[in-house]
Amino acid sequence: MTDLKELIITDDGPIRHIRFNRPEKLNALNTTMHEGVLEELRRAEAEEGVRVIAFSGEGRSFCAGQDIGGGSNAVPERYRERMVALDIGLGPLMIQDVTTAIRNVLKPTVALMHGHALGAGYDYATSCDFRLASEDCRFGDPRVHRALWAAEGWSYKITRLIPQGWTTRMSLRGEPLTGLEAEAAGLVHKTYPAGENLREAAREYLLKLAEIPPGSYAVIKKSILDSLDLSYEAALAHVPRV
Amino acid sequence: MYETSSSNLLADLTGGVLRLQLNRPEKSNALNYEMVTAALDLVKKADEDWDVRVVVLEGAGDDFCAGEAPEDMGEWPEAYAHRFHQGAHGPGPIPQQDLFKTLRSLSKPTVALMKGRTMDAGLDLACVSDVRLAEDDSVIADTRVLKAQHAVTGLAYILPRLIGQSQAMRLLLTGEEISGKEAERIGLVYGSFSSGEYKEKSEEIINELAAMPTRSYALIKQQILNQLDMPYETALMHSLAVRQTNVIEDTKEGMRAFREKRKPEYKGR
Repeated sequence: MTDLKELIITDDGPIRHIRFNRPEKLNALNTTMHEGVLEELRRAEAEEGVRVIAFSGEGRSFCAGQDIGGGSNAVPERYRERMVALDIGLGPLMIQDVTTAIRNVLKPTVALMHGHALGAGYDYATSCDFRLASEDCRFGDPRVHRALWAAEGWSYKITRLIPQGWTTRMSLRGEPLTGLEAEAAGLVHKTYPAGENLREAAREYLLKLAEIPPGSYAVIKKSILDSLDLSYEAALAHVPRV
Repeated sequence: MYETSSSNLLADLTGGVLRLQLNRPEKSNALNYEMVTAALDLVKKADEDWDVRVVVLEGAGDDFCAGEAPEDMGEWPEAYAHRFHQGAHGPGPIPQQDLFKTLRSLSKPTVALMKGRTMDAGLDLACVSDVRLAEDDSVIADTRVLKAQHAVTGLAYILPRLIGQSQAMRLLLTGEEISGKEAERIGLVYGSFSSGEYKEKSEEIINELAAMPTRSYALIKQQILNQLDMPYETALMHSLAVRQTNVIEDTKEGMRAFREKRKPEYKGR
């Protein structure tokens, strides 16, 4: 188990909570936290008792984005050769790796979002199977307003999660949606009144997910993800490898 | 200067906003070849012009664009002489597709002002734009199926992705007319406003877009559109490639403004 103080790992019955714990930075993610999440995902996947993996944030926010300040952003050795001088830090490489790992876990994955769910937090959330949010949560990627490249993976995901027409406001205008707006767009599955602790409020929802037979969940999840990129005929002939 | 080769298409560049106005109000701005090629020339020029921050498509008079009529298209354009093919349903929509394709991948924000009627090929024009704005009582439809025409200009690809297959089937296969309000409900338009508010709201959105770091905007747009057709792993590589082969000058200004706690002034470079 990770010994990072920036991640709190707790179990609530079959629910494994991965809690971002950098409240003074609104849970901005740094490279050590990404590394910790990778390790925790491997562990949660391997443990049979874990039936649901839920991400949430301590304090006022789910996650305000990627921490682009120095200090806590030591670059793991394995990335050194892949970095290019043009890049501002390590950014996309690691976010891509972690969000791919989240996407590939064949157990139910859930983002419990309150306060800010922006930038890297948006990348994490759009990689989960389910998004549950406070009604007043701010959900999106404002990075375009800082003239960044953004879209380091969500550009693929967002138009598959909801039709492209709904994505303009978030993706091109860089305006976050509230939890309620995201729910209306079909991007958030359920909202809860502002101020409620989502680990408590969403407990019933999470426990229901935990009851789904894990074998069929895994096969169907893999089929959906694979079929996003297959022709119909190819999808019919496709046997998901789980 | 944006001079146009057709009196049926007006162009004006002011404050970074290039407005292309379809100017055949007596025909509800139905497209003809002359308008299509004139628009294509200007759009290609705008794509490479740093001074253009937003391209707005609009119609003169009451309507946005009523589509096109086979008997009303005028002379087949000279530039396409080598690509003329008289099929059973008339010549192929090759110049039109070139315009739609160029608009869709334009490296600038694009806005379609869909007041009044937006029909058939007019809907193509709207759907290749990034932001569609309608009035609550706008009329929007693709009636080509009812006229036994072939809608092969691109909507069969674009609409299911834009609004989901279910609503795309409804629009393309029944020819149903929907209001701006209904178009907003199904996610076809970005916003629908009362006719009293329309002008003010749409100008506000256009000006906000023009002030954005539009180079950054263009790269995100490029990722979203191209990745519609890519497998996941390929899309991730594409994002890295876009990021690492493009310089955005505005990023420096973004960082400076953030540090100095002020509103950035972007140049779109």
